[in-house]
Amino acid sequence: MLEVERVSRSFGGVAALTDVSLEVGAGEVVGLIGPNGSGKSTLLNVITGISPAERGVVRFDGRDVTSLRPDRTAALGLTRTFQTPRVLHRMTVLENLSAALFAGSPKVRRLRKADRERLNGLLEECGLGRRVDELASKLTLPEQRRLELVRTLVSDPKLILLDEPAGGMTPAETEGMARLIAEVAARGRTCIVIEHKIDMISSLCERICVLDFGRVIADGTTREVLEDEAVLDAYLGRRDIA
Amino acid sequence: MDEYLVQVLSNIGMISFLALSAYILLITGEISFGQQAFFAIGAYASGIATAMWGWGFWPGLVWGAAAAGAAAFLLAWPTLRMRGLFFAIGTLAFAEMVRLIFEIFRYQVEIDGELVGPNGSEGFRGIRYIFEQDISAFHYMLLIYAVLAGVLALLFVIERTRLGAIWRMLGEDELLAETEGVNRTYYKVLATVVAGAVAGIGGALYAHMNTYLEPKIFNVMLGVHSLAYGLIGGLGTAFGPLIGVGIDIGLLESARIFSGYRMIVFGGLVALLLIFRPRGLLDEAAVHALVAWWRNTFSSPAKRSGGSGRPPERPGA
Repeated sequence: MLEVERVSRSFGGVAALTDVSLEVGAGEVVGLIGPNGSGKSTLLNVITGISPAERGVVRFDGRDVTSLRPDRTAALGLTRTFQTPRVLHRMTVLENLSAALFAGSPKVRRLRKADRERLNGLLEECGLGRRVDELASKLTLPEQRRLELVRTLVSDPKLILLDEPAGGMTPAETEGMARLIAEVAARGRTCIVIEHKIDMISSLCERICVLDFGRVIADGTTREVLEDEAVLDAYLGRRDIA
Repeated sequence: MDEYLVQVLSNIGMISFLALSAYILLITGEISFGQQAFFAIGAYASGIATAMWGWGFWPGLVWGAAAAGAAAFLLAWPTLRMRGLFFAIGTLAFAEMVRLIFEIFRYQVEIDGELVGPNGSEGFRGIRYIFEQDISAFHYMLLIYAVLAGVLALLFVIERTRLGAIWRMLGEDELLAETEGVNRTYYKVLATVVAGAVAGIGGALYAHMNTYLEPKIFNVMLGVHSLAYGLIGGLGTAFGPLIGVGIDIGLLESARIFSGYRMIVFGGLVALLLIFRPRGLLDEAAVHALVAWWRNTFSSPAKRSGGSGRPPERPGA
């Protein structure tokens, strides 16, 4: 479904990504981990067209999307969340979803009863059913992250990119978020999940890719990667594993 | 009705178009100091149509709106690649350019032995259609408010549909909107064109009420005021800018108690609101609270839940 081939991206002479390659098949849930500044979010920005690659190719569903704008990649079925949750604070929770529906579905001109019911259903599922009419600014951080996740589902995407979906959450909240992502994945959605919480990543993903200094240092099954010498040295540390 | 009151109310009505024009851009996240240029273009174009070409009022009004909308398109295409302050400065430069063009724009024809049409800085005299048709100031005021009601109704419809949601989405978070599938340039150009056309309608109405246009009327202060109306009245609904106009023209300009101090009070009011209510009196939170109150007070229990009242369906995978 997604092929990232020898992609490079730099900012003012600092190489954020160097020759990064990654393949994600349909229905896979792939973890993307690495130290802060290793290029994980940059890779998501490259894939979604926010910050196009300087070298290399990104293919999505067989189509070259390397230089497509974010709205074009979204139209192809690629959606994402952000490291710092981005919700529309001046809109209600339901309006956040309806705005996403309008943005992703040009044929939907106004919110009909069936659309409203579907969006309400999505909010019920992620535990925001009672906050439908609240302004999004009143949501707590975990609620905002859940709203972001459910927003990605509105336009029925093919690939969901989640950038630290449990960032800033307590262990209990993290567990709840992991359950939600697992439910999304169980419906056959393809996901790439960036996360520092290794327990969450290992419970969700069968495959992990590790970045360090903008390069892929490991890519394999969760078990292989978590025991990889280079990964232990660069990111996980040996004491954590012992 | 008192003649002075009719004039004040007519002014409030006409300037409301300019305020709504700036409001449309504000909700999409753009600050324009140049909406007075489209007001001027609408005024000149419709004045030329009725006074020189012999068109009727309504075709002249539509032509004024179309000319202003077309000019807005010409402005939007290059300037919307600019962001934030750069766009604001670009619109200011454009408006001053338009004003200076009208200062040297001469296009006159002889009608009944008299030269009619724009004559550079001397202005444009003889836009007499309303008087020739014997329409009273009171009836013209009613006409202004009828057109304003039409534009407001259109904006309310827009706000409840896809276009309005996308404009507000762009206004709050452009990057998010783009990653959700919004073509930023297309929707911002569209907003600029609609805003230009709305200002053009106001200009057309202004030209026919005053019968005389002078380029210096359309100066930067008119643009600053149009922007301030939304920021005072609020950006949560299209009624907000009208409240701003009402406060400025209806209260500060018209009440004698503020005579000579209008700009001081107006400036102070804008400053206070920017500090304490940066999105105006009727901001999104206020509108949300009002809607919630209305729903809780008057709506059926089914609608109060914000949904259909039915149990939610399971989302499709």
